Amino acid sequence: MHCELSPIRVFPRERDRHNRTVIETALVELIDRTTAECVGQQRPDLHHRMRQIRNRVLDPAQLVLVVGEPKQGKSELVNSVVNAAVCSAGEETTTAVPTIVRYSEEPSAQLVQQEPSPDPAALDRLPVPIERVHNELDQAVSHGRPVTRTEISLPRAILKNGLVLMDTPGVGSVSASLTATTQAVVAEADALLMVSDATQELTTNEISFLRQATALCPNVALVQPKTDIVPQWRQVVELNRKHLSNAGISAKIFPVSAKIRVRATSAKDPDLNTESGFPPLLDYLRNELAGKHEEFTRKLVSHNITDVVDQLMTALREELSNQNPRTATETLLELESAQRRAEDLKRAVGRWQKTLSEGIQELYSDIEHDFRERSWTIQHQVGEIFDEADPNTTWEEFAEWLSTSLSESIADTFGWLDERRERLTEQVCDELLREHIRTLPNVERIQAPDPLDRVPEPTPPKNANYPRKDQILTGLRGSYAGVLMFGLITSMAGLPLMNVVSISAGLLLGTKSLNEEKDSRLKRRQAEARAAVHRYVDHVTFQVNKEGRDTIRNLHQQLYDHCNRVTEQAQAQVSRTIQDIKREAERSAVDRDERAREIKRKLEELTVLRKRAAMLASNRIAAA
Amino acid sequence: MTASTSTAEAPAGLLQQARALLIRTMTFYRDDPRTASWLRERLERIEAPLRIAVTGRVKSGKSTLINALVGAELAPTDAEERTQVNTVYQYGPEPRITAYTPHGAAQNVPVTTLDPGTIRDLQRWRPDEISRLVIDSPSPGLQAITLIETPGVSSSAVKETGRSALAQILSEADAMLYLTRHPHQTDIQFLQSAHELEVARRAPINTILAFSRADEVGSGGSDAMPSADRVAELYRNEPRVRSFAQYVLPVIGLLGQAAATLDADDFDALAALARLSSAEFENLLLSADRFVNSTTPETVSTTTRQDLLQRFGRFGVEHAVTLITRGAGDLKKLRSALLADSRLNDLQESLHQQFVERQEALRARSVLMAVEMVLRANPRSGGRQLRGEFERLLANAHEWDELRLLSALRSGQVRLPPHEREAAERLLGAFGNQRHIRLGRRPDAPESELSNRASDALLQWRTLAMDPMRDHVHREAARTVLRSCERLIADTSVRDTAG
Repeated sequence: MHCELSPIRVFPRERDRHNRTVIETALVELIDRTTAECVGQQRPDLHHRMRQIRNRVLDPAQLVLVVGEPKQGKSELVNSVVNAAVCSAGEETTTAVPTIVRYSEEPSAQLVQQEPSPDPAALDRLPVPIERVHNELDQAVSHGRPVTRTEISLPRAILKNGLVLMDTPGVGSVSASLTATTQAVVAEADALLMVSDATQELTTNEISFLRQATALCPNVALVQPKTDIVPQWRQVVELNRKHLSNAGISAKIFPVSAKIRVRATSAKDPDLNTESGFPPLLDYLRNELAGKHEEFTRKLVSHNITDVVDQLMTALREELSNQNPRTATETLLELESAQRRAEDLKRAVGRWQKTLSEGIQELYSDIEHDFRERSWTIQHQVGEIFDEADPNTTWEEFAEWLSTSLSESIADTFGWLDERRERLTEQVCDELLREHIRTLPNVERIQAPDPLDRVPEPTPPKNANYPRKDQILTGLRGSYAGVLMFGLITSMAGLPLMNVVSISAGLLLGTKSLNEEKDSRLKRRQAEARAAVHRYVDHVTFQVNKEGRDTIRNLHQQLYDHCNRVTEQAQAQVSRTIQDIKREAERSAVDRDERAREIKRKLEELTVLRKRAAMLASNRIAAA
Repeated sequence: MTASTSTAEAPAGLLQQARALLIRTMTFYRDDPRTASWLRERLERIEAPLRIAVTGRVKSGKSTLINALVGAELAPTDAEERTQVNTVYQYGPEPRITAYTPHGAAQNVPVTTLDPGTIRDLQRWRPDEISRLVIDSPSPGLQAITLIETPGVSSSAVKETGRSALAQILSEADAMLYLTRHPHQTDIQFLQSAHELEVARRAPINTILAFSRADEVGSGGSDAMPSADRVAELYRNEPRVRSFAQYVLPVIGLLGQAAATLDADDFDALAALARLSSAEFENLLLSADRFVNSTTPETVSTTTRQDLLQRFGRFGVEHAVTLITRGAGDLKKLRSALLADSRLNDLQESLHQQFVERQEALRARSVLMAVEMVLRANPRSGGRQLRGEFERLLANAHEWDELRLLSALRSGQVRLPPHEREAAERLLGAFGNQRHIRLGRRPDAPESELSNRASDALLQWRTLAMDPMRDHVHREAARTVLRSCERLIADTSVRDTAG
């Protein structure tokens, strides 16, 4: 049933094998160095990729992935290449599980299962008869067994050089989960055969897939099966060539027909075989891929190392270019802000001092004025009282009233002072603490003093008593004058000096002068009392003012101390910050230089590595 | 036409309400000549044939299928996808091509006959030069439907399809015929976004998904058709396909086109081929190249061969020859046999069933979309009442509830036991909108049987709608079916009073 149409090339020859191991060692060394760099740069993703590449270099098999959209004839292509129905192909079946076809002396088939466990080694291989592989697979899948791939081994000459074909589920099929697997495997492949049938040109999806795939795997060929169906397949191939070159993808195009191939195989007709388009494809697989394993591995390693090193270098260069200006600018910014803070503080000091002194001055005059006003009111009242009342009789009562009203006034004044204190404190602290946390100073509440104790009581008027004998004397003096005056007048009428009229007049005048005397004494007493009270109030006022000044001075001191303390603390902090920043900047400059030197050294190393990798691609062995 | 008869049957039908709304909107915007004329065009469309958008992936055989449906070779079929312009194929007494520029100017292209070459040249203009091509053709296939061909989805030659194409289709067409060679994620994405638009979510557009190049799936052997059937069946049960397309079916556009354009010369050539021995013929048809370059039989010239292959495809030629050897002895027989095998009849039947029979709802949907577009694009004070009317129509129409529930049933969002599901789908009109089909009876069933049947269904679904064992979603679903049953009964009574 199977027949190989082309002569078999014998591989590998002994010399080749030797050459190969030398190259392999060189490659592995190169890869290891790149891997070390990846680890050093803490790039686990790249590290992982390099490990994959290393495994691939050491593995003689060359994985050729057959990819493409669903229903393009991928499985049929694999079947045609190996001349056996190893992959299930057909209208209704869609490849759900990748099939791997590789060389062995005896044909065999295995279903590879992976239990859903984190251990990657937990692969379970289930050998099945090769004729029944599709049925077994269907059964296994329908029983829900986690089959990850089918592995087929066939004694085919084309596979003998380590060529491994992998048939994959369609890209972009309606069941999306399969697509991810395909993408992941592309990174591991040595080459890709993109399958897109010849009945139509490449779609945008296919081109974008190709573009993605070429980034991961440099060897891509486009296979266009089903050329037997449409007459205008040449046109489609030409169009695709154009699309590929537009997209910047270099890939060979192989138009093939599996149907003609099958016919050619059964009829053993070499002409038909040529017509099927398969010989160039097989040639490509055999010579370009299998035969050029070494060049191929080199290309692959070179491609990957170059890419990885480029990524590392980009990261390092970025760090280098970002490092200097950024730190310097940051330092500068920090410094600037600290200095700005210091200036702010200075300004704040001026502000609060001004507020404080102005507030205190105002307070002095206000308090004095306030109490003076109150004392004047009291004096006015006192005047009114003593216009009428006799200090002699009302003194006790009056003294009590006076001390009460004075005490009240003092309390009022100091109460007001206390309010003013609070307001002033707030104002000053506001000025000061605009940019700091607001802490109010712990200023004591102002207590109203009691200066009355320290002021001698006002004395009542001295001539309070009017002794009886003085009164008689005053009365006699008045009546003497009256008797004499009227006695003389009546004597002219012949009456005696002492008569009824003169005595009556004497009595009258005596009483009058007594009353006048009493009155003038009262006036004098009142004036005296007023003067005494005036003096007293003045004295009290003086005392109160003194107390008030003391209190205000005390307040001034407290506030000043508090504010001064806060500002000094803040200033100390700012100057410490500035020093820190300066010191830090000096130190980090040293560090930075060191890091920059390190990066530059790394970059040089990487450049050398990259050059060696690039040399691999240009076909010179860089074993040294 | 059908539209007028259906309006006669249901005077206060959905379409009638939508039409009234459209007229009111027109009156409202009468001082804006551009909007008013645009709306008038929409109003005229209500009486015109149903508009069906033919869209699909690049090279999915849109043109071929259009030719097959029209019954004449109008749309150019090419190996290279270049179509950038929406092309409308409509019925007209004289062949005529009108090209519209994006600024709205119409240009008459002088033609006496329609040939694909001219149309191809016009279709390759850039979208900023020509926005729309309208092709009038006297073909009988266009009398019932107007077809709109759109640029392919995900083509490498045409950028900027997708979203804009989608918006155009949804605003221009009453229903959608989506073609693909094989369901692909791109297709699903396209259909999904078509169903995710605001209005579409409330009033989904009817979609038929067709595997248009069924002959080329797989290796394209002679058993292509049965296997294409199986593939279609497979995807009919795929939830993601099912929820977006009301119907999935395979079709061989080339065979249909071949049947439509088959002439005596073709038949002679095919008959000559049929006289070859089977081995000879098999060798000849091994590949398209062989067939063209071969000289046996000598009576068939190379140009004829090329022409045959171009129009029939390799599968078409092979199939036609097989049909002739099996006894399709003359042109007519061959034509009908080809037509039958192309499944074009199935497609036309489902077009009829899914689109033409539901045209009232479909047209109403388009009308409402137009009103909505106008209200949204030119908002002005006083439009709130119209807007409210629009919302009410959109929310209340039972037709869309039916479509939504069908879609939910098919995608598995609503699960019913199998027998209930089938009954529900039938009552909702999944298998056909006519009354007897909905009730699962023969067309000639007597009225009494139909009404009994409807009453039974009503009782059954009323019980289900109140079943406390079911959750809210399922009771709601049962209620929708119940309303369909009520309509079927109401229909009976209307007919009784009329008769």
